[in-house]
Amino acid sequence: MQPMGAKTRRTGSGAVQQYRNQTIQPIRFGQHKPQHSARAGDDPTSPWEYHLGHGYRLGDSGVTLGGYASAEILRPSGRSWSFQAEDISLFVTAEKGRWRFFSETEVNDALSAGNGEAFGIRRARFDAERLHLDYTLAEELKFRIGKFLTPVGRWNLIHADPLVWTTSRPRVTAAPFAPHATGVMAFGDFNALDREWNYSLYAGGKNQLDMKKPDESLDSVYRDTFGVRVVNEMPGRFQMGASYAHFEQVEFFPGSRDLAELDFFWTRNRMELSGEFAYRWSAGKDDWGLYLQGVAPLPLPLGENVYAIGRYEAFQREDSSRLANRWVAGLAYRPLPPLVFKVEYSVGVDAGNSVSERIVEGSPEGFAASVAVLF
Amino acid sequence: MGRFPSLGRVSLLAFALLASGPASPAGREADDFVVIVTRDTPLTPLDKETLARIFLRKKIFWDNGTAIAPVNLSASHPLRRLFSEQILGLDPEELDDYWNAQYFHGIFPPYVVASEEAMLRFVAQSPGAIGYVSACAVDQRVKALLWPPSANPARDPPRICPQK
Repeated sequence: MQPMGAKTRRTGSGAVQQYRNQTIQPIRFGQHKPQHSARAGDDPTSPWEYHLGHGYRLGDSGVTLGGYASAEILRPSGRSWSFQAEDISLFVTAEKGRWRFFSETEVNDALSAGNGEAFGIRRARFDAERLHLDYTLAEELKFRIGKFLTPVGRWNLIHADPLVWTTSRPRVTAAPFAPHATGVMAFGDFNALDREWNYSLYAGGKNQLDMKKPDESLDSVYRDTFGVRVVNEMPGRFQMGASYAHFEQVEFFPGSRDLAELDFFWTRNRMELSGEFAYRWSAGKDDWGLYLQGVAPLPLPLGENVYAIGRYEAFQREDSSRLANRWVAGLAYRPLPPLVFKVEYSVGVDAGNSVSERIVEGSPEGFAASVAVLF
Repeated sequence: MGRFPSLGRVSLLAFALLASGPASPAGREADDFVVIVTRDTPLTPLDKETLARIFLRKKIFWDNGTAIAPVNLSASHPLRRLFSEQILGLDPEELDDYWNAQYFHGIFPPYVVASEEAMLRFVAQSPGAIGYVSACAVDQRVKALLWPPSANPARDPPRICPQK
């Protein structure tokens, strides 16, 4: 029974309310184990627990298993439909004192169909998306070594399908830089000027750990990377970030690149506004891109969990004189925080240059629908 | 018998912010909460910002190097909602996206217990733990770090939790 006074903001179904009322204990504190109980409800529950969206804690080992999965149906303009079990990502987190290990192993296109092909696993591939070891000297100074998400922009750092509102990804959030870096990072959180800040300083070699990358990957080969990101945030309210990165692009117009980026996020009463702008320059050729996105809840019979999404994107590639843009309109149904169903339609203009065709893969024109869940 | 007199053994810090909590349909017990820590935790002043950073998993060590283990009541508990609104300035649901993103980075939200008694037991037995209970529920198993002015023992008579 729900305690009196509790708010029932998400009342779309009984399952939602059950989720709200359940006891979630997704963290392990080593010796923090209760030893006695007096009556039902007075005893913290077993450390062997699984809860959707918070993973499975392996007793007192300090290890938690989790991940996310998504599947999508695409019908790009002028092309046939396709289905993909897009991502199955497995997280392994292990904590011991000031050390934390984290890995994300991704199975891409685990199951696919369409474009004249029957259902199959032909295109399935494994990627070490992230693999790093952290050491916390203090909240203000932590160290990371391994493969990690490049701290450029907000979207790249939360790009998992259950965490974003659309099936497609704005080009500016991935195309101008390597979404991953392999190297070392110093990062931390601190409070200054009465505000919450976090920063990341990193340097790396090649962005890839994998021996072979498929051609359709957004993740081109970069090397000799370094950069910095600073964020001012109020969790649950707003975030403003600025990033700088330098790298050597190995494929497609090889050479040195510098990138500056600004991003913002604001939310109130479950409405959101967010955007990113990036400008990349090199000897002779520059490119830039941006997106602006708004999200608002809809008052529908399904409850308060249906959202309308609108987004505008623009991307000017260095090898094109034509500005590519996209308008995206979509709906998302989020019955539980870790689960989201999405449908969207996008229209726009492409840059008309096929040399870097992979760049547009993340945001095709046409229809897209998907379901994604954190588990 | 109320447990209030035992509080004379612990250090208290007035925290004026907590005096203005909205009344709950569940009664006065949800209006005042006390932040509690393990008895072995050195007493250091905690302001609202520091407390918020602890429950957002931004501050993760006490000054003596012990890992901080924040503990929450369930999201629907009136005291959890009051704590979240007063300290974090948000409903628990408004942090769903934040915790989803943190989970994506291998960081987990505070441990959750089912009742105030479970909170007291957990905090009492867990080095580095920090939680909160109704002002009238706190006892000598734990230390109280913050204390609402309305429960000033020098001014107000001890109150008994309605459910005790």
